Amino acid sequence: MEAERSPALETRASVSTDAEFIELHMRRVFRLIYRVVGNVPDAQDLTQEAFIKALSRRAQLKDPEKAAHWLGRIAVNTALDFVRRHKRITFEEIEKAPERSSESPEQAVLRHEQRAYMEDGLRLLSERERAALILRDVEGLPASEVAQHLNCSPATVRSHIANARVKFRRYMKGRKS
Amino acid sequence: MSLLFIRHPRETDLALFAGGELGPLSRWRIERHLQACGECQEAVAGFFHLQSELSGLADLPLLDWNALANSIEARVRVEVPREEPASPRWLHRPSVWQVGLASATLLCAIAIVRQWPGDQEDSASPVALSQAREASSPSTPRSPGVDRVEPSGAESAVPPDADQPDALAEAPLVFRDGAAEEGLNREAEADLATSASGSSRQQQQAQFADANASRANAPPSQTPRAPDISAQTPPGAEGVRKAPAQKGAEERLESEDRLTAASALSLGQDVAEPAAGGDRARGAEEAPAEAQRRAAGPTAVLRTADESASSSRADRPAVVVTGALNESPAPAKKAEAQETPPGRRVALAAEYRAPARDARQEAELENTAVWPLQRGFTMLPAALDDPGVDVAVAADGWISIRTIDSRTGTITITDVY
Repeated sequence: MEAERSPALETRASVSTDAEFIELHMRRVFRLIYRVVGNVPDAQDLTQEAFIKALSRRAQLKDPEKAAHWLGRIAVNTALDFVRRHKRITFEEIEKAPERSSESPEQAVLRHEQRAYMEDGLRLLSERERAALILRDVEGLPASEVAQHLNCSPATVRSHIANARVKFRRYMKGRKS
Repeated sequence: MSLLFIRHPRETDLALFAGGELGPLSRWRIERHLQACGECQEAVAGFFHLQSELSGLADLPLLDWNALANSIEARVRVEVPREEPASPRWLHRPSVWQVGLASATLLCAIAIVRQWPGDQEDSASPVALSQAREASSPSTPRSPGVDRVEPSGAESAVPPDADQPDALAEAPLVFRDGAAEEGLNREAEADLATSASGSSRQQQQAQFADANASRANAPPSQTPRAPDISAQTPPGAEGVRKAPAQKGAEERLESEDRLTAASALSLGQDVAEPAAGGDRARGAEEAPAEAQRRAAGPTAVLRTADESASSSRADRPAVVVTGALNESPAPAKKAEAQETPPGRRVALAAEYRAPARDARQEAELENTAVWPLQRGFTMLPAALDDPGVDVAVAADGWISIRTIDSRTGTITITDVY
């Protein structure tokens, strides 16, 4: 029979579990939030906020195997709430993106310009459309999982994705022309 | 020609087709349309290109992930409350419905115990009860609280226990032994029944104890004979106690267990009502046999008043029962009553530890033939010096004492609390 653990051991184990949980999901959470808010400082703050929310409500997590989905939903909602509150989305970390060793400086400049233009185009989308498009086309999540993250039906997510693609394609067409 | 009638799919459907989010039927239709529509093919190609461009946004900026992880952990440690160690669920504060359910269960249990067959007589109306008793013993009027099997001229020399304030204070006692006591008790009962309904049992007991103490020095001959209390007590008044129907000393002597059990089962209410008087003649015949049976009793649980007074407080058990038994001649049996002295006083001090038995009592119980009777009563046959004493003790503290005076052959049944 397993011996009962003392409160100190319980606390230590809880801290260790929290650290493992953070380390396991931090990159993914940060990436989700960063895709939505578009800048590192806000993404860092919101990542911390998302983990605090998740660990404060860990009792709500019934199935530990669904922790990633659950945490992703919290992260996306946190980011969307932030964007809705501040009515801004700032993509200002282009220069922090890793340089590709194989490209020339000219190619890097062109890539940076293209990225900036695309990020501007993302600002034209609604919050839901932007989040759905990023999660689907940037993060590569399936539509059903995007629906879970956005807490809406798959049909609604498909509608958001289709509208976002149509708008974004028109935006990109305008640049080429 | 056919292109004029072609209906192009919606642009959103083409976008979903490029992303692979369409169902099989929609996908088949669009694929079939794309085979003949260059415009839609171009649109789909644009969506494919868009997806490839969006995937370029997946690059993350260079970050110090360890620093970010440490800062997150630090904030979490500060702001997230630690999980409390799981405490047993029963330590949690019970909800309202749990308390209500427990109370209802307790009340049901109390009601069931009170409606037990042994107490059915208690629930009957007093008048019907009185008639039933008179039918069972038509020739002998009831003597309150005392089953006088054999009246005789013997008189107990044990003084009343009024000089033991501790004992009286600890266990106020109602003895329904004689006419004087019955009269006093009935007065107190009437007062209690007509007074505030919220008076507690302890208050009633205190009043009865005072009544017992005040009548301790009263001469028995001066106490008037009171009629049956069962006919005068208000039906709704609680605390009116009705003793079991007395079927005669012969039956009681034939079945000692049944008799004592019946006496014990009549316990549970506040005031003892006089039991039906036994057939004195038959009781006189059976008294020697009863005395012999009493003499065979192994141990005594009751003590005399002197013994109880001499015992220290530490040795004193949880409940001390003490009081005086008075007898007076029954008016309907004048001839027999003339043989009986006007007053016979018996003082008893019974000790019983109802909640828990100590080692001494356990040893006594082991050496004592204990008959576990039904409904939680236990009969303790006890021999107290000369008079045999039976004590039937209920779990809630009610005690029924039956004493047999070996000299007179008188059997006295007293119910106390």
